[in-house]
Amino acid sequence: MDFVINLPLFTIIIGFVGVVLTSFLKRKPAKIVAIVCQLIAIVFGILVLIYTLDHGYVNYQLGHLKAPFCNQIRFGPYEGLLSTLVPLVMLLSLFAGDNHTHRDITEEKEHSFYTLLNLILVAIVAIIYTDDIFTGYVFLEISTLSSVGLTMIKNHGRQIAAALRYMLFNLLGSGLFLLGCIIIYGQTGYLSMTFIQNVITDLFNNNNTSTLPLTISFTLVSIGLGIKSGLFPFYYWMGDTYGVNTTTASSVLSGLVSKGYIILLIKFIYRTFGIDNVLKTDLLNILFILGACGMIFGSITAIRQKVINKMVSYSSAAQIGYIYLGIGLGKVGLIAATFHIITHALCKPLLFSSSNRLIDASGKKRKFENLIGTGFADPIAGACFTIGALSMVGCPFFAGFISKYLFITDSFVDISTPTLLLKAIITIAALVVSTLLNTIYYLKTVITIYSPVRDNKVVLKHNHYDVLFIVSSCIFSILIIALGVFPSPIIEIIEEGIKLLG
Amino acid sequence: MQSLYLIPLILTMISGIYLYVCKHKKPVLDLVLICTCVVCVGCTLTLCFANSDLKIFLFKITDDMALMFKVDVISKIFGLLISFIWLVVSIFSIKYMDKEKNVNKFYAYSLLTLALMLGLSFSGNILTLYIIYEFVTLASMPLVMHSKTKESKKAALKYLFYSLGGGFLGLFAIISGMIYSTNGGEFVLGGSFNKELVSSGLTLVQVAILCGLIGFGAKCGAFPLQSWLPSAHPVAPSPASALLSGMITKAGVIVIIRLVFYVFGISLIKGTFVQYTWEALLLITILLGSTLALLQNTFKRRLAYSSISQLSYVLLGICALNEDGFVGSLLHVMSHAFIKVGLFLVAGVLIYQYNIHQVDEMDGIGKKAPITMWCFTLLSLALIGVPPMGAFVSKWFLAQGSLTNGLAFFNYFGAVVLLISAILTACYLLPISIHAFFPEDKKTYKRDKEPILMVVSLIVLVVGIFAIGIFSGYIVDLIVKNIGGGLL
Repeated sequence: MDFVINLPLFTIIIGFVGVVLTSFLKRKPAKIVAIVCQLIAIVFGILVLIYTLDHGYVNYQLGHLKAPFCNQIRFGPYEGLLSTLVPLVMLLSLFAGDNHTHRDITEEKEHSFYTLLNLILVAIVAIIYTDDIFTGYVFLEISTLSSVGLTMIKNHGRQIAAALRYMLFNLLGSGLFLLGCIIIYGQTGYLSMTFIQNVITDLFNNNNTSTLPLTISFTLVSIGLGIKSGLFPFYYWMGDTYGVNTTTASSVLSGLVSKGYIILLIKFIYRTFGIDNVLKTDLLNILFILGACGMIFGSITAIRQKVINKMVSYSSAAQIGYIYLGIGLGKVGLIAATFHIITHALCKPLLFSSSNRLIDASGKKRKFENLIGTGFADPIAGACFTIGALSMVGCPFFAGFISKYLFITDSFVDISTPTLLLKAIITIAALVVSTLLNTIYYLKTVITIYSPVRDNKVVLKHNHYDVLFIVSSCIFSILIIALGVFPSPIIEIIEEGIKLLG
Repeated sequence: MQSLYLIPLILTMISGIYLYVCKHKKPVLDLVLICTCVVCVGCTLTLCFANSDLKIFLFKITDDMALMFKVDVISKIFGLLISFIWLVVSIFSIKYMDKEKNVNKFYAYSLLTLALMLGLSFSGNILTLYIIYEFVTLASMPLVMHSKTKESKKAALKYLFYSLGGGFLGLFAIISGMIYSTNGGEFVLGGSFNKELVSSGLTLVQVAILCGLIGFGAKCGAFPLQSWLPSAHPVAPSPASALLSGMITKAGVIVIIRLVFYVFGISLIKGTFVQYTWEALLLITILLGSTLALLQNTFKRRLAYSSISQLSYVLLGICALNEDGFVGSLLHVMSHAFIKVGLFLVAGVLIYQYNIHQVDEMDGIGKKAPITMWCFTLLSLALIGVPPMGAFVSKWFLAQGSLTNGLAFFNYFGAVVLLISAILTACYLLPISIHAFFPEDKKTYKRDKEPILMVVSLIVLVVGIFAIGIFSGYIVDLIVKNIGGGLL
């Protein structure tokens, strides 16, 4: 079994081989290569998860030098779980949107679509595994550039504008992040997360030196990653980026890429800065407030949309807010935040793929008034949209309920000081308001798609039978319900992983 | 015996889904509906005579989240009431639904709601209660928007919004109940709240309880979350509005009884700001509901506002936090269920036979449909509180409970408000009867044939309300013997 410790590196290398292969293959073989890479990544992720659950975390060093002079990979159950989730969601959303991929992307470009997907996979998996801030930065940029490519893959005017906006926001974020990293390197002299944490702890405990540069670097890194993942108030690029794209691209961008940045932030807070040092600054409180605002304003923006896809996109802003709220609650809230990362990564692709099918059924009209009755024209897409919506609203027996439950209970674990009590109360208030807003726009959509058609002029198109969509959306739905009914194993893995995280 | 009380739950759910999936025509639909309801009544009746309290664990979601059912006196009373009323309304809806489309869906959602309401009254801990409460809202929403018109959809969304919103406000109370009780929120008479588990002073828990009372009060139309009732009731088909107003609103009552008496215990609430605020809100609701009912011209809307005030009577009894008040509120739950369902069914007959929706169209209707209007008159007298019918006894107990609730000023004020509201009730119901039987124009009216099934179900309800009044001694004894001392 000790061979397993090599697998994280192999996942990355195989992913890169896949990138090279897909870039010159024709579209069919390229797709097969991408699928094979993702399957391998899933299997390796599961093996890593099982191994680390037994053996604890592993430090894996590249090259013959010892850390800090080499590049190091570090992984435990937390990393194992997330690196299983990412390729799984990517594979399923690839299948769910396969039909639209063929329709939306010209044939000579389709192979580069798979190249970009593979690059994103490699980048996120590397971000999850790495223990080196500069490696983190490199893969952050790889992920940025390939997601910009993914945004403009459909190649018409609105898309290019959206991609430009997305790129501007992202590069701004990366720039701030890089500045933060430079300050950290200047202050500590290391790039390896473990060593940086030791030095930072020393600096914080030593009263003679100023910790201002470090506080600034915390802020720069958090704001940079916040902009990239769409934290309030930086979420206005979401509508066009996710909303007018092809199904797989929007699923991957909103379900995985934004989560990749959040995972990197979690690694920075827990591995690089050290949670005890971060608690001495106000960083977590700021993230908490921004998260709570994001939950409410994201939902309000979503309500104001007239197009189903954009509504689903802006609801991501609210969900990202939930995750930041959890991160802001400290170590206890991280369980809820991680659970919500998983929930959202499963729900969003389901919602995007089913809403795009519903749009097809209405004759490619995207406004809400054209969607009346589409739930009957495409029953499976309608049912899947309903399941995703119920989970988002937080209906019991769906994954969304468990994450909301976790948010509330976690915020009440420790309410000994006034700040913590205030945080607990804000958590509840924000959850109540945002759930209500979620209810309005998601269930209204569900009612719309299941209303009978009264206008005789409207002709609904019955979508042709798409096996890949049915299978993958069923798997998504089953996973969402399974997480809602039997969440304990996943919660235990997350708890175990967070214990080992740092 | 263990399996017996899961039968109504599972059977109703299966037959509900069966009706939805297999699109049968009318007679088969009716047969399935009535048989299911009869079996439910049978099972709950048998359960009532089983002495022991039963407990079933379903499964655990996480270590501290378990789903379980438990049967005690409250479950028995509510279970029997719910299944009986559902049977009566189902008999009525056989005839009424002749003129509607998608009957199978209506029956299916009605049965699903029945199953969930039974589950609500049988649930054994606070988490199960909450989960089922949310599903009751989701399952009963299609009943409101059955006609699928624009107004009905809007009303259904409003209902959903208020109920789910209230539910999420209440989640605060539910979770503090789970965290701070010794047994994870299982229902024990007198509560299982443990002060030592609270690290930050009791005020937080009290705020949580108040949130719960307001949030779950949304379901029974308590101020400030009352405004969905008058929108949702008029647009729904009459059997659905009867169920909504008579039974589904009682879901809120069940949850509040469980929260106050079975999880937190009354010591946390008695005499604190929670009780004062709650009492004030309830008194506002009673006056608001009765006054606004006077101003309505749409018949069903008038009844909806009347429900708002009557349901706050029930909550007022709970809010008194003493034995008299509790007995009174349980009795009033029963009386109000019979009366309000009856009144909405009368509205149903009028809509079905004469397409009458407004109060001022009802001149002389008593000559055309005398049995219906006689039932209406008797039921309105019962609602006003004329002896010997059910609501008289319950109002007696409610007034007594309110007088002895120990709150300064509010004790007398509560009793006065009850009196004023009774007069207002007479003002908004009796003129309808008077105009119906003594029309102003001297036309001669011909007596019409009234649909037999509808009349039968109305008469059953009238007999029921008399029976509750006459046998109220037994019911009070039963409640006092089983619960009485444990409350305080």
